[in-house]
Amino acid sequence: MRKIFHLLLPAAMVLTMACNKVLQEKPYSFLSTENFYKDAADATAAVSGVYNTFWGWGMIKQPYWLTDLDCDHAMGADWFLGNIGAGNPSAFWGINNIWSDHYLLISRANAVLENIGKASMDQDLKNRLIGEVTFLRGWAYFDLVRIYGAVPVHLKTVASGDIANMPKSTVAQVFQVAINDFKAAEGLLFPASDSRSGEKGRVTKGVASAFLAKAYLTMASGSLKGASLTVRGGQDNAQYTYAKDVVAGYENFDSRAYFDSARAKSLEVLKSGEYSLFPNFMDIWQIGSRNQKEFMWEIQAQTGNDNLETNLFYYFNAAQPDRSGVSAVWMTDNHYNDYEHDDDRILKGVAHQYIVDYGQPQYTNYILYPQADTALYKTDAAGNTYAWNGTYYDRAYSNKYSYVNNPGTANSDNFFPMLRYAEVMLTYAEAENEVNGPTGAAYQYLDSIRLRSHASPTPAGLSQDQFRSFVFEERGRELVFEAQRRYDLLRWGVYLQVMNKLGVIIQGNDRLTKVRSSRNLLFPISTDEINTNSALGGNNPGW
Amino acid sequence: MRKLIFYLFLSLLATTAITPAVFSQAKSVSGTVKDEKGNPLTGATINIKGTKLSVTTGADGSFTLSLPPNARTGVVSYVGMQTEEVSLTKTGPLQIVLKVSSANLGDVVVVAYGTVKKKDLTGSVEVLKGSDLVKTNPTNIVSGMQGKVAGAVISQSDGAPGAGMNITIRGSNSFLGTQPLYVVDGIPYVVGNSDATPSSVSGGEQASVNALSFINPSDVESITILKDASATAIYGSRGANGVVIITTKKGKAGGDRVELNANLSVSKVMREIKMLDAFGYASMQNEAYSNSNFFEPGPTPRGLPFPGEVQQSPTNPDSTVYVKGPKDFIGHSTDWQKEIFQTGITNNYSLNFSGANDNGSYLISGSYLDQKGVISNSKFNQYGIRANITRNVKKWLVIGSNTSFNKSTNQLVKTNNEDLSGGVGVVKASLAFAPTAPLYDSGTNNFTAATQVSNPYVYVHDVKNQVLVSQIFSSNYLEATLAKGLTFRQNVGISYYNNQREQYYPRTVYEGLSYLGLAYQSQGWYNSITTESILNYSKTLGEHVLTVTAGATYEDDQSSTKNQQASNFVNDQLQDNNINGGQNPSIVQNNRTKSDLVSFLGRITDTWKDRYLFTLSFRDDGTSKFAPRNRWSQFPSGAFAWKLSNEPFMEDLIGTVNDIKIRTSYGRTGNQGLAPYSTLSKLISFPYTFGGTLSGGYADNVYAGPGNVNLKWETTDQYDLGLDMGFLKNRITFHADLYYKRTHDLLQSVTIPPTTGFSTQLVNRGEVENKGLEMTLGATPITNHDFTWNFTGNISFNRNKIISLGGGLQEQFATRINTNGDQPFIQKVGQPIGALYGYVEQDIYKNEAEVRSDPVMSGQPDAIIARMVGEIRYKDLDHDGAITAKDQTLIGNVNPQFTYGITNNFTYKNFDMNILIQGVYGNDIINMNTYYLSNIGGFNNVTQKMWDDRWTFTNWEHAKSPKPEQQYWRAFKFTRRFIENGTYIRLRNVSLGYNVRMKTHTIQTLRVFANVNNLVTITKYSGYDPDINGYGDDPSRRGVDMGGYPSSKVYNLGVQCIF
Repeated sequence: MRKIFHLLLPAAMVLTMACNKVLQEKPYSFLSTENFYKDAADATAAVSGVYNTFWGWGMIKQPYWLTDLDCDHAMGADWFLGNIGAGNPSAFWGINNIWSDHYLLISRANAVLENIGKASMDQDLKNRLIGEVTFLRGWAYFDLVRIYGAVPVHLKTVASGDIANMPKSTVAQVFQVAINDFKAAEGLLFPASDSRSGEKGRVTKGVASAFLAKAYLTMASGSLKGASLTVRGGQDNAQYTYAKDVVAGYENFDSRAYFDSARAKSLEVLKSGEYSLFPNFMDIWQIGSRNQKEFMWEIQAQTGNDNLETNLFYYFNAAQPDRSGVSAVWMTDNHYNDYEHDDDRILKGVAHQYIVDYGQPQYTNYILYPQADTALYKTDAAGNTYAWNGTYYDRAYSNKYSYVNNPGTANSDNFFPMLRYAEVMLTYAEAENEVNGPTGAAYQYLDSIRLRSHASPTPAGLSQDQFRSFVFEERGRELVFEAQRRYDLLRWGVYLQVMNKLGVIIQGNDRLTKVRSSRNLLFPISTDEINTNSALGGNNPGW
Repeated sequence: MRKLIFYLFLSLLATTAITPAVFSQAKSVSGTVKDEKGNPLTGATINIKGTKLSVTTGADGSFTLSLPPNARTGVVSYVGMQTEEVSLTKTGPLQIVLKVSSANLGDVVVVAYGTVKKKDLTGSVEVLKGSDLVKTNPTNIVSGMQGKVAGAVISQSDGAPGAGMNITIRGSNSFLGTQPLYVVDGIPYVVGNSDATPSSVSGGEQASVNALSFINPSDVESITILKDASATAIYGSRGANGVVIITTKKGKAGGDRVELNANLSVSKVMREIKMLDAFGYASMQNEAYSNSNFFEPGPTPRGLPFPGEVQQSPTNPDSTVYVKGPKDFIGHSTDWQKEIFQTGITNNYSLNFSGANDNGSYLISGSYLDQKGVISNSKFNQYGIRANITRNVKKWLVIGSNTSFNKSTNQLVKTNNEDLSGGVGVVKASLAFAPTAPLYDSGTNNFTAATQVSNPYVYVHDVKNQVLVSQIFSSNYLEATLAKGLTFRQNVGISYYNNQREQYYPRTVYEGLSYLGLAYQSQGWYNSITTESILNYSKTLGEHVLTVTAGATYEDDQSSTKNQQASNFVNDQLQDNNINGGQNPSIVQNNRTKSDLVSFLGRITDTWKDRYLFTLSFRDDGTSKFAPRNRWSQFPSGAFAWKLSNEPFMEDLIGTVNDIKIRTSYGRTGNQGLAPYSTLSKLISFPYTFGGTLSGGYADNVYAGPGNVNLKWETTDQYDLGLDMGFLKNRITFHADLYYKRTHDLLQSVTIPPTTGFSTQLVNRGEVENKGLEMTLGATPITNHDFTWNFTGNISFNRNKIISLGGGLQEQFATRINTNGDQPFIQKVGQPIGALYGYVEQDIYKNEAEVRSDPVMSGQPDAIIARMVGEIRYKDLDHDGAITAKDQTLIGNVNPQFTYGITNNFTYKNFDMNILIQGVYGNDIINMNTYYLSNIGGFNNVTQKMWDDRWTFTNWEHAKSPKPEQQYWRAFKFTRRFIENGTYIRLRNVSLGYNVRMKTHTIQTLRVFANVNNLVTITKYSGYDPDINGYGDDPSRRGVDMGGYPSSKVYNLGVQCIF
């Protein structure tokens, strides 16, 4: 009997040694990076998780396009634009989200890049997924450098040992990161027409090329010295010519070389034959047009899923479907007058008649816009009579986001255009003009955009300066409310001059100040970052 | 070390030595062995000294033994009895009487993985005997420890029946938790109060249940509290907060016995908070309206709510009604506290059967507790069964099992919760609800409906909120004597804890009103299996007494929780029993965890010349909670004690100073408070959609933080210097310990830059120190035949200080409490955990001139200036002309300066009396009830004191509270207005017992006793009870009162009967 125990003791010891294996932790109720990334399904899901960050409250869910509304063309209700649209972004409740959501995208992308190698799967698919997240990371840095200037760069996750308190990289370094990512993605992704490029809504090779061109264009225009730009504006909506500033941090970029790169890269996309314009301007915005032709990349919404829907319809469409109110954002009268009268982009792209009754029939308002076209819009087919209501509703509401499957709810399924083929044409026209002057090719692409909206052809014989200004203004017309205008003002170094020339806009009862100081050139960095990152080196100037 | 190996070698030699003995047959001897009461002892051993010859007694205690020629002395032994030597040379039958060895037992202390003689202790260890524990008639063992243990701060979450209790031994050395490791009958008991409390429907509810309530205090043999690291380091990664070893009773020799305990208690709430009555409340409302008219005049003055005049009827303009004034309420006030309070009745019975002989022991006990709280509809009900069995299978083999099963139902009322509006809980509701409202509204023929909060009476009676627990805790062992001095012990422990919370908020209360009935259930189970293989070897080698302990242990802990919720029920009839009947169900949430711990441990003690005591211990812990690189951690300790009194040069003093021991130790320990999977990243669902098709997506859960493979235990280095003294044959004893603890690599969730993609991360960062002094003085001033007086007093001082927060950080804040953005719990380098931060009040603005002259108010519009009269004036500490966050400073500390307890035991003939006084000095309490009620002039009722102190047109010079005003702009900053001194001294227990001398042998003992708990409390604290700690286990937010359950005064009558 004793012998048994003499044996038992070492046996027990050995047993406990074997328990070492038991110390391997096994999660039951959650997936962990450690036990994920096994196969194609895992890898694909991880990449979807990166795309998901676009649905954050610092992105498409609300303020991503809000940053763009800090421009000369946007007008809005005080409750909506009173802070971020009035040069006081730090008072905006969601300001910190803009910063954190971009970095959320980056950290998710980094996690995928670090782990996707573990997944056993088809190499083409793996390359494409790596290409997608690499592009998305580049996109985030490109966005960050335009919004904040110099920012910290994380190319690894904190979980894998990257330091949490990262100092800022320079503007040039951040651009380089974005360009490297765009280039790498370009090499890994497939053209949209290739079946290996995956479902609609994913970024493709063409998107990477176009963003590469866009990044070059931004660097080129920002660093261009001694040029001038004529912009329509001011209280009198006249043409004003400004000597452009060089954007801070862009001083050492070789402007001409980057314009040349932008020209070549955009031309590559134009010649790829992968994309084409919709024949009519209003076709673009129809539900059936989503992910088609001109849409190189859109943020995808899912009808009926609150987490994958936006307030775009609610904020932009003239009247709510139940007539209970009007929307918060519209274009300035000045900008409305930037278009020719029969340009589809306002003829059809702006609401001219709408009805509001706040849910009480005795308050029904039949409203028309603009006053000058009262004769044109005073009645509709049903025989209702409309009137201009200058006090409350002198507002040019855009129709870009008016087409949704579920207009009756606060959240709706608008897709948001991240890149339209039309923009690539404008990129080419702009770069070609800077490199070779206003050539026929530059005219040709510019006019294909103008003519489909039934605007007149670009005036012949423009000088390089004039052509530059014309493209600039055309971008404003074509891409209004597509998160472009503010960046155009900034990269051309005319933001402060244009905004301050405008001063305070008063339309009826609405008032919005466009007065800006130099601190408005960059957004304030998240206070959470300032408070936690000791290596950051402080906030942007003036904040 | 070399010496040690040498001794080990020697010991091996010794065991192989054989002493041959050859005896020839000769005469024999016979006799009986009995205990002191005359009961025969079956199975007692009579051994002839110097031989291996022995015999055991029969059923009648008799024996016959053949004696070899040289036999002179016999050694008589029996389990639990003092061993006696008898002369065998006498003629005639021997009548041997053995004495119960309880006196000796008391000198043996249960420590980690074994026992040690109290006189040979090298560490700082506190022992509480079961008999001392039950003297104060506690309903659970933790409250029974209050005031009796130096170095331990024991507090209750609140006064609710079955509520959680918290022990902090030698200060907080963690942000995560300070619960000690509980070891019950040798097996670690890992269910903490927070684990034991199933989740509730509202995150603001902090009420917890006491996990340890499964141990019936009358089943406890002893409680050992290991305080210094030399005692706790052998528990390694779980030893940093101290260890509480609970040993339950075994059957004792001396025949079978039956013990019946019956207690009946009546409890009353200790005090009520003096609120305004209906007259006062109506007056306050009127004043609030007229002040509003005066200070913020509108186009037309608003009418008073209680005008006391005839007015036009609001429903029929042609008629008039009389609207009551304050005077009409005199004598018609509803005291909402009285409406919810009741006299609580507690029944507590236990019955146990026990006995022991040479073959083993048994104890089977059953207990029943039915405790009605002092708030209506609250009660705690528990059944328990315990079987403690040992069996001597072979001479060298003992097996045993200590197994208990418990089932309890804790019927809670909503107290101790964070909310400051809406679902505030019954205590806050009873303070705030308008006393002008009748309990029952004759107009609507229903209970008065909720205004801002639920009707407290309805709140108490209609809401269902109960926690059901069943648990099994079983500690089993096998102990084999392999050779002389060498034993092997195998422990197997099984713990199973199952709990369920059932909640239903009907539409008659705030929480259920908008939901149309809100039902919630959560379930959880915890299961742990422990195996421990321990070798013990003890050997005397010359002047050295050596013991060696070595072992390997394995522990597997698993848990599972789930909860479900539904709202919108057709009616409130079925409560939560038909969750699928809710029109608006939510998805079931669940979680499952598993963690494992593998350890190797060793300890060597050496007592040299009975003067120099050495202890070395070591533990190597491997845990699944960490990544491989930090999986294993080592925890060494060493201690030395010098029994000065045994030195030859001290001989002259023997008689006056009979015991002096100086102890010193160092050890390293870790902290157990870390959830499984903390190192891992956690992915959750983040889908996206491509071309209209939803695509499942996964990404890190931002709020869980990034994975951190570098996590490791926070480790505590502790140094202890102790002194034990006994004078006059231990009539006076004195123990003192001085300690210093430094904990580094504090585990804490820190805020990290958003550029990381996360907001917080669990890291090892920062250092904290605790140093302190604890002293215990025992004395028996009087002892004679009829009268004995025993006195024990203890006092402990602890000073806590944050040495560093890591990362260059100078300050940070604990998790928020509900104080409108202010964060009172600051964690600042150089300050203790529990330092309080806030604004400083100057006074109340006396008049408009004073407001105008205040630089802080310069540039304010006239309207603001005017309304600030009678409002709080905060100090502009940085003189920047504005009250900003920078005007905050340190304003308090929730840590006591010292805690103490004094016990007096008197026995006079058959009477005995016990008086326990316990107190805490110098700590602060955050009174969130005051915070909740302070907005004088709103709907809430206010305390009489706030009313008496308020600013008025006549009392403008000495006002301490703001003016009553109907307004929506007043925002209180966190100041000492909401912090109170928590010092108290409490006559915790007075008991008087009488032992009836029984003529009959059927009943051995009959004892009747009466006691009163919480008889007198002296404190300046304005709440119900300064013994409150709303956040329970959370060391970073100690001492918060947020509508906690009031404590009660308990009058108890009991009888103990032993057959």
